[in-house]
Amino acid sequence: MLLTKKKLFFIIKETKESAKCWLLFSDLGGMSMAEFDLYDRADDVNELLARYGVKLGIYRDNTFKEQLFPFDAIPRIIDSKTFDYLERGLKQRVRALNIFLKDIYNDKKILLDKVIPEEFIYASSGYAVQCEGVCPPKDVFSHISGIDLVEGKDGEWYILEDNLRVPSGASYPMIARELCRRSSPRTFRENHIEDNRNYSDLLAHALDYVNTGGISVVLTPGRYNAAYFEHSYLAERIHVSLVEYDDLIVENSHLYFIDYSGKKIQVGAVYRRISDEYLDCMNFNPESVIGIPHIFDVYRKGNVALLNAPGNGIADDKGIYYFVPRMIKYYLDEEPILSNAPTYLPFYEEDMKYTMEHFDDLVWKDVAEAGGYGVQFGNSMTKQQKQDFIALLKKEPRRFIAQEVIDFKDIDIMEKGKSVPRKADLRAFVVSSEEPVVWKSGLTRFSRNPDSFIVNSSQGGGFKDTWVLSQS
Amino acid sequence: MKTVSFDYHLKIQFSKPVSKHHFMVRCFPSSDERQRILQAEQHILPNEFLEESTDSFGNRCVYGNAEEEHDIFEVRLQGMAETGLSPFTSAGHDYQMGLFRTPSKYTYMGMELMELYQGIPLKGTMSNLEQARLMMDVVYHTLEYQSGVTNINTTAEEALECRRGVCQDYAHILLALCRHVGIPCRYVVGMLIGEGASHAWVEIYDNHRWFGLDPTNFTEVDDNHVKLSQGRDYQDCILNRGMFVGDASQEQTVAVRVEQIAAPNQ
Amino acid sequence: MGIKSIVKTDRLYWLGRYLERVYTTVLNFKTSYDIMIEEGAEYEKYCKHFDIPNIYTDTEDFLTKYPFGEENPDSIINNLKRAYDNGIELREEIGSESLAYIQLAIYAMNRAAQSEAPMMEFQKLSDDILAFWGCIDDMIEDENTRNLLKVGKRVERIDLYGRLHKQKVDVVREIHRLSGRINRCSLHYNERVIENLLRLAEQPELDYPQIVFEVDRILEL
Repeated sequence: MLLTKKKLFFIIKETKESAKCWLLFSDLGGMSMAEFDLYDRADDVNELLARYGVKLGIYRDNTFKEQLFPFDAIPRIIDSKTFDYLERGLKQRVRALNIFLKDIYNDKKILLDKVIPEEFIYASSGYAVQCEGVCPPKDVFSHISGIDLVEGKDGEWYILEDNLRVPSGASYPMIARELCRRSSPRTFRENHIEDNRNYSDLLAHALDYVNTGGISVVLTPGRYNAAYFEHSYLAERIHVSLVEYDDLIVENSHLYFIDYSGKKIQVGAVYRRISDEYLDCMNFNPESVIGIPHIFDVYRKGNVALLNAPGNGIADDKGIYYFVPRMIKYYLDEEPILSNAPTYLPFYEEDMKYTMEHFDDLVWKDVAEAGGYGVQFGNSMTKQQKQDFIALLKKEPRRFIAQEVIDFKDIDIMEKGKSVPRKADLRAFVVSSEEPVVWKSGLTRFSRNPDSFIVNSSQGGGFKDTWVLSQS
Repeated sequence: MKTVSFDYHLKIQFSKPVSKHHFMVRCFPSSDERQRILQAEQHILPNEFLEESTDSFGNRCVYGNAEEEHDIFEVRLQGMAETGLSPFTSAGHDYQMGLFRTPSKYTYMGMELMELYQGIPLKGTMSNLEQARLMMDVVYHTLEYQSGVTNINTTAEEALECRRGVCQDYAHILLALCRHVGIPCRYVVGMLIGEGASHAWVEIYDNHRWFGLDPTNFTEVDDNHVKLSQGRDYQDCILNRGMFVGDASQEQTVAVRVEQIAAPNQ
Repeated sequence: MGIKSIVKTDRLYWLGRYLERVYTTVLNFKTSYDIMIEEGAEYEKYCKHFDIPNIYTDTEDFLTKYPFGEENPDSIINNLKRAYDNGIELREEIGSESLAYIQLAIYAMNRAAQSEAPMMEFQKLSDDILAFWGCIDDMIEDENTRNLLKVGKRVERIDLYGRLHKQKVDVVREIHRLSGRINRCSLHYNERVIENLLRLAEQPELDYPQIVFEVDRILEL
C-alpha cells in the first residue's frame, strides 16, 4: 500500500460482529502526559484485565483461541465542548436513522419523494423484506448504535460508519475504567472525568423501556463467539440471564424462558447478540440452528422486543451511508451537525464525472462486500486493474462508492516505555429509549503496527479508554 | 365465474420418527375481489401447537411446533370458492411498488435474458399490461414445458439457458423481463382446475390494479385459478418450511384437486 | 437473579465438582510429589489409589503428564479446564469477582507447567480455589446458586474420599454435609442415594467401594 506520511486512507475491516477499525488521533486536550500517575500503572491495569478474563475470541486455522485485548493507558481525551458538539451531532444522526428505518419498512416517504433511489434499498443485502410493515415496540429500531468516527488534522470530526445491527465494544472501556480507578485513584481525583460506568444503567433502561411484559434476557450465540466476554459481562452488569437458543421457546404467540423445573417464564425483551440471519430459521436463514424458531413471528405481533430491531442493516449499508446527511435534512429539517467523510456515488452522473477525473486520489469501496474486501485505492491499481475496474463500474455504478482520503490526527500509545503515535478510531455508543443518549465514553481502538491502518485485534491491536472531561 | 371445490394435500413422510419439529406453512387462500372463499377447513398434523400469522406480503401462515415423535406431517386444506369474480384486484399501497419493480434473487437479468428482451418489439405507448402480454407471448414460445430439467433453486436466467422448465421458471422469466422495463409484478402460487400440483403465475401492476397472467398456459388468469399466496419470487411463497430433530430422510408429496361444482350463473 | 435454566443448574453443579477435584487432587499430588523426588515407583501406587489408568512409562513421564498432559483426560490441567469451561459460562450467575479466581487458577496452572518447582505455583492454585469458595460465600446472594456449587463440591469430595479410603470421620462428615444441603437447591437428584449414603455412614466399618458406587449415581433418577 502506498502512503505518504501526511495522508491516511480509510480502510474498513469488518468482523462478524461488524466491529470496525478506523484510525484517529487526538491530542490530550491540553493536559500533559506526565500528569497522569495512571501511565506508570499500565501494567497493573493489564494484570487486572487478565484477572477478569477480558478477552477476545479469535479463530485462527479453524481453531478457537481466547486472547487478551491489550489495553493502552493513554486515554483518548475529549473536552466537554467537543463532546457537546459530538453529542448533538450523534443524537441528530441516530434520530434520523431511526425515523428512516420506520419509514423504509412502512410508508417509504423518502423513496416516494425520491430522496433515495429505491434500488439502493431493495437491492441491498441489508434490506429485510420480512420487516415490511413491522413496527417494533415504542418505534425504537436502533436501541444501541455504534457510530465510528475519526478526527481530521483540521480538527473536524468525520463519521466513518454507522453500526446499527449488533455493535460491540462498550464493555471494554467500562471494565477498563473500573480497573484504572482501582489502579490509580489519584488520576481520577485530580482530573474531572465523566464517569462511564452508567452504561449498564442506560442499557438496562433501554431494555425496560421496550419490554412488552416479562423478563429481559441477553441472547448469545455461545462462548465461541468473539465477543462472548462482552455478552456475559453486560448480562452480569444489567442483572439479567444470559441465554442461548435452547433456553427459549415460542408458544402461543409468546416467547418463554424455560427454567430448570420446566416452568415457562414469559420474555418481554431480548438483547440479542446474534445477527438477523441466524435469529429464526423459520423466517430468516433456514439453515440456522442457533436461533429461536418463530421468534420473529412473536416480534411481528408486538409480543416481544428485539434489541436491536431486525432489518436495521438497511440503515448502515455502505451505499446508504451516502444518504444519511440527506436523511437528516429530509426528516428533521436540520443541517447535519457531523459530516460524513466526503463520499461520491458514481450512480449519479456528476459524481461519476468527478470520480473519473480524480480516480487516483480516491478510495473505492464495493458496497456489497464486507470484511475489508472490496476496498481499493485508486493510486495503487495497475493500468490493467484500473481499466477492468472502470469497466465494471460503468456497468454497475450502483455497486461502488468513492471516498476522499482524509488526513487525520494520531494518538499516542506507550511502547517499551516510550510514547509513539498510532492510528486509532473512536466508536461512540448511542443508547436510545425515550430519547437517544450519547454515552460519555466510547471505545478507542488502535493499531500496534505503525504502518498499518487496520485497527484489528488479531494483528496485535488494542484499546484505550475514552475520557470525556466534565465542565468543572 | 365458477364455483369450485378445492383440496390441497401436503404430506411429508419421514423415514424415521422425528421430534421438535418446527414448521411454517403458507398455503391458505384469502378472499379478494377475484375469488371468494366460501368455505375452508384446514387440518394440520401433528397439531400440538399451532398459531396464525400474516407475512410481509399479506399471506396467511400457520406456524407451530411438534415436540413429540412423529413420522408423518400433513397439511390438508379443503373448501369451496367462487372464482373469476373480477379480472383484476385493486392494488393496495402504491408505496410498496418499488419492492416488486426491483430484480429479486430469482429474477436478475443475465446475458440470456437481455438477449431475449432485446428481441421483443415493445413500444413506449403500450400500457404495462400490454407490454406484459407481449412478453408472455415470447416467454411461452421460447420455453418448452418439461419437468425435471430445472429445480426449485433455478433462476430465471438459468432456466432460459435450458429453454425448458416448469411453471415456476415461466413465471420467473416473465417477472425478470417485466421488472427490467420497470413494471411492478409479483409471483403467485395457487391451484388450477385440472392440475394435480400447485401452480405458479404472475401478477402485473397496471394503473392501480393487479392483473394475473399465466405464462405456462399462455392465458390470462381466470376462473380456473385459485390463488394461495404472493411475493417477489418463489422464495417468498415457499409452501412449507420445517426444521426437526432426527436422522431421517423425508419425502414430500403435494396433491391438489380443483373441480368445478356449479355451472356459471347465466 | 433467581431464574435459572437446566443447563446453568448443571454447570454450577459441575463447576463445584471439578474445582473440588482439582483442589483435593493437588493436595494429594503434593504429598506424592515430595516422595517421588527420590523414590521411583510411587506413581504406580498413586494411580491405583485414585483408581485412574496407569498410562505412564516412568516417574518423569508421570510428573509431566499427570498434572499437565493436555491429551490425558485424567490430568489435573484437564480437570481445571473443565471447571473453567463451566465457569466461563456462569459469569452473570457467580459474578466476575468469583470467576476471576478460576481464571487466576488457570494462570497458576500454566505457570506451574513451565516451572522447575511446580509446587510453588500449585500453592497459589490452591489459594485461588479457596478464595473462590470464600468469594462465593461472601458475594452470592442467591442461596440456590451457592448450594448448587457446594453440592457439587460435596459429591466430588465423597467420591474422592471414598476412592482414597480417607478416615471414617472425614467421609461421614461429608455425607452429612451433603444430605443437609442437597434438598435446598434446584438440582434433580436421586433421594434414595442420600438415604443409602446415610445408612452406609452408620456402619462400623465403611464400605468404601459401595459409597463411591452410590455417590456416582446421585443424578440418576
